[in-house]
Amino acid sequence: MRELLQQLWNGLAIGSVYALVAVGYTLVFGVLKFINFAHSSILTFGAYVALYTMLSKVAPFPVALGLSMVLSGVFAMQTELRAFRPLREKGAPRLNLLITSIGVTLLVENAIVVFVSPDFHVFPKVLPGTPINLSGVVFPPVDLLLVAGSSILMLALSYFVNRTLTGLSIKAVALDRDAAALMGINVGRTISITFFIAGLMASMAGILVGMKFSVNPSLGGLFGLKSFAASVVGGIGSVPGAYLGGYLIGFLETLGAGYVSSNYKDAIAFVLLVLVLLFKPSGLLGKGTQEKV
Amino acid sequence: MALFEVKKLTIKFGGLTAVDNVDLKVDKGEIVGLIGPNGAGKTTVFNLVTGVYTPTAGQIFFRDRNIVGLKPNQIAKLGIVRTFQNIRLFKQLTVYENVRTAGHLRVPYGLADAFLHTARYEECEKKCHEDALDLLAMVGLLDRKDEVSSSLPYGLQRRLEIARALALRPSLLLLDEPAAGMNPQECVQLIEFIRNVRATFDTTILIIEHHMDVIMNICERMYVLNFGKLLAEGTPEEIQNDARVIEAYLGEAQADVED
Repeated sequence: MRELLQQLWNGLAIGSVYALVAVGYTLVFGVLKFINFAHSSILTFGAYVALYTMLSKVAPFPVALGLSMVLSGVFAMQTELRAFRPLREKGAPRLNLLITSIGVTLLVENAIVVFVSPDFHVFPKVLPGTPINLSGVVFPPVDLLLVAGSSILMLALSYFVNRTLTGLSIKAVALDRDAAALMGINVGRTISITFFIAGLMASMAGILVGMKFSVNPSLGGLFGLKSFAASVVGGIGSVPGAYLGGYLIGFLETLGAGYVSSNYKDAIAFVLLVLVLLFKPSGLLGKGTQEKV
Repeated sequence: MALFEVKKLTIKFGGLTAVDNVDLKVDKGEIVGLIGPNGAGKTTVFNLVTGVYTPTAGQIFFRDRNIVGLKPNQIAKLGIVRTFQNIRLFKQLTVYENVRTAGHLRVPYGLADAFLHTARYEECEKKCHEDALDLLAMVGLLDRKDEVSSSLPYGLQRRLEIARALALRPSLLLLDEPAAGMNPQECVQLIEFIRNVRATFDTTILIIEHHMDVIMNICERMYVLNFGKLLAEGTPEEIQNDARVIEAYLGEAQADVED
């Protein structure tokens, strides 16, 4: 029982990371209908900003966290403005956007290797070191922060999307970009806002996995890929689907590692992806697309 | 000076001149028709006016300002709003949300206001909410406001699209085949409805329509397009009796039939 509870908690913690990142894939897919593989590099970028703010001891951790989130949001916005928007305006096929996004990831990762450092970094100690121990189940402080922080961000995002006019305009742009423009919605601005939010949430995930494990130039790689799997499992384009997919992969992964074998840990996300796509191609909460004839 | 004026409007798609040197003029408060056979370039004119396409040549003046080159959302902001031939509602949003998307242009509060629920936000939200409900009441959709828009019957979807356009308080409303797919009785209701819209919203209307009984009934003046060129202009009576128009619609009157 204690073992199970511990695994469930671990699953919740790592699932929060996947959920935070998966939301970014889903939001961007919603408005632009392509998979933004550059999203994983935002996670790495965010971790580095926070790391170097902390290492240079210019600001306390909450400030570093906030700064990194804002800068990552801006950085995500800039990738759209400089890399994707010119392509869209020239009417490039969506495949080109996808390939460009892979290019952006390579660029960011290698720029970090060349201009910052190729090494693994341990995040400075910012949280109290002793994990909380409740009758044998261990709650490390970083996990608590991860679960709490991601819950807050997710609630804020749900409020934003469902209750504000900007949220409504994101939904409108996702459903019909041209009609939205003709209804007076500034589509370019709406897309920028979407990228900003996606970047903000990915940065939070990046910092916390950086603290949990270590910060390195390819930090975003595997986490990004699994989060992408999470967003597809949940139904790409659906925000609740991204949360569901993220937590589902988190739980299955830790349970699989705990009860089967930790060798298969990384494979579980992709096995789940294949299974879900076999039985429900639009994802768990995705809406089936009907071909218009 | 006319509220809306198009001068020598031309657009070419490759070798095809879809709209060729067209001049249009609409005065404030008018209901003006734009008719023509299929493929005459009517919807293309709407696409040019609303900024979806950029003209190859020509000018579009709205309130004495050349709006060529502005983006669709900027044009909507100036007060030119359209509906679509094939209805383009936000299908998965509710009836109410569809109308609320328009609230965008009229909301002075920022995101921070929305998150902090400032007084300004509350006040605007209340007003927009009431406006949306008023509009829905006017088009007879109030009792279905929480339904997903794609679940509405066709005729009501048309009305909702007009309501959504009206939510922007347009000074020039472009209706693209509002009577498409409607039966004669619905057409009669539509005529009433459009007149009502003009009176209530003090708006000017440019309308594309194939139902001759609708367009002849409702328009004060009309323009006829054929193969992208302006063929005729005048009152419904003049148009009905114009030999060139009859020819365009019914084919050439042949004096002698050979073979």
